[in-house]
Amino acid sequence: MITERLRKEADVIWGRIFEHPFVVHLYRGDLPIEKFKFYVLQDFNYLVGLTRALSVIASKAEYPIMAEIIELAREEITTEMKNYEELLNRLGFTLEDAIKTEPTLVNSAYMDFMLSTAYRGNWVEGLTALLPCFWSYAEIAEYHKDALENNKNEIYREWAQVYLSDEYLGLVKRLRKLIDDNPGDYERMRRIFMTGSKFELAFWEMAWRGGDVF
Amino acid sequence: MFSEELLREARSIWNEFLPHDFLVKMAENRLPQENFARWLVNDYYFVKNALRFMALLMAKAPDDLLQFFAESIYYISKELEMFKSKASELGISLKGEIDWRAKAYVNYLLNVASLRSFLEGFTAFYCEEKAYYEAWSWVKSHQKDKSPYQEFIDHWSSEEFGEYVKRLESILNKLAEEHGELEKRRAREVFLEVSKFELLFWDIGGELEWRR
Repeated sequence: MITERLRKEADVIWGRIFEHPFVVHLYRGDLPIEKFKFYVLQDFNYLVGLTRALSVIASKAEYPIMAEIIELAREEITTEMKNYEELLNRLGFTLEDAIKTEPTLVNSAYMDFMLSTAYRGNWVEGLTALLPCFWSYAEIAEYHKDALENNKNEIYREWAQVYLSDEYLGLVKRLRKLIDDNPGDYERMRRIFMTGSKFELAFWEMAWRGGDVF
Repeated sequence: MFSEELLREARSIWNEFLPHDFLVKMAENRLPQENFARWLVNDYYFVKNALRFMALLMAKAPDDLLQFFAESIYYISKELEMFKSKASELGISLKGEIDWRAKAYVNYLLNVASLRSFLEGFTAFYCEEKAYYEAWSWVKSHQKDKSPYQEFIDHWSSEEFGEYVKRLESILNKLAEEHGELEKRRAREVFLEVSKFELLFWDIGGELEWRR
């Protein structure tokens, strides 16, 4: 299976994601809340960008695959982003605060990478750019499952549990299946997947640092 | 209201399809199945591609409309099931030949969504949905007997679909307020163009005459 192969190629990067201090402290429950707030505002913006990329990708596929991709976008908005709206309120933000937040350079570059891959490539390549995001969140949650059980921070625990839910895992599974059933040029897909994986790591690093290099 | 201006300017075109001969025959149960079949095959093709048009538009939409688009596209993609079941009931293959008018219409919509502004794209979207609702509502209100194609008539003249079109209208009017005259003028041109395509589309299911 092509996604399995891609995953192996990115193993070193993914290992660093699992052990990244932001991720570790988040799952352990002792991440400073200010860092988490910063992350949530950025991630909300990122999810909007991801949804846009999904719509471009869908426009390139034929029905019924097209409808499947749109279904992913719809679920992404209704499940993950709805959770975020509640989370924003709990953190003392409004939806407007999130919309007004300026994306960091890493975030902008990541969103542009997804969108340009969606516009330039075929739909399978477009989905491959989004795969590290969807998939790594599920693997991170699995990797830190034990830590999560002892996590005393309710906000963090609830946030993380989404990525262990059947709904979310089903989403990842369907995304992988779409790619596995329609593999394209491996070398191009590998590059896209590696870049996406690196952006994931860069995103956590950016969140840990609380901003860009500037 | 911007939507009212658009409809006023396109009135003469809309009068030609409200009602079109195809719709009159549909309402009076005089439409030969062969004509319905031709329309069905082409409309199936149209809807499939209209989903792509909407997806391209969604990519350009303001943040607060993304959910609306994702749900709309999903909802409209479910309509294709209705085409499939009707086609199999009537023994029609949906892989039939596609009329040049349907192809031209689809290409025009994809062109607008790709190359022109969101306002222009959304205007095209509103025009297409509104024209559809008005056409099927005309049929519904002029029916004497139940039609063999009743589910199509009921679906696109339903209150639910009417509400959806109203929602599009209010989004469009709000958008238009945020745009200048030049941009609105371009959107008006799009509305007229899409209106003409709507008219041409009904011709596909009508007699095989070419409109000049």
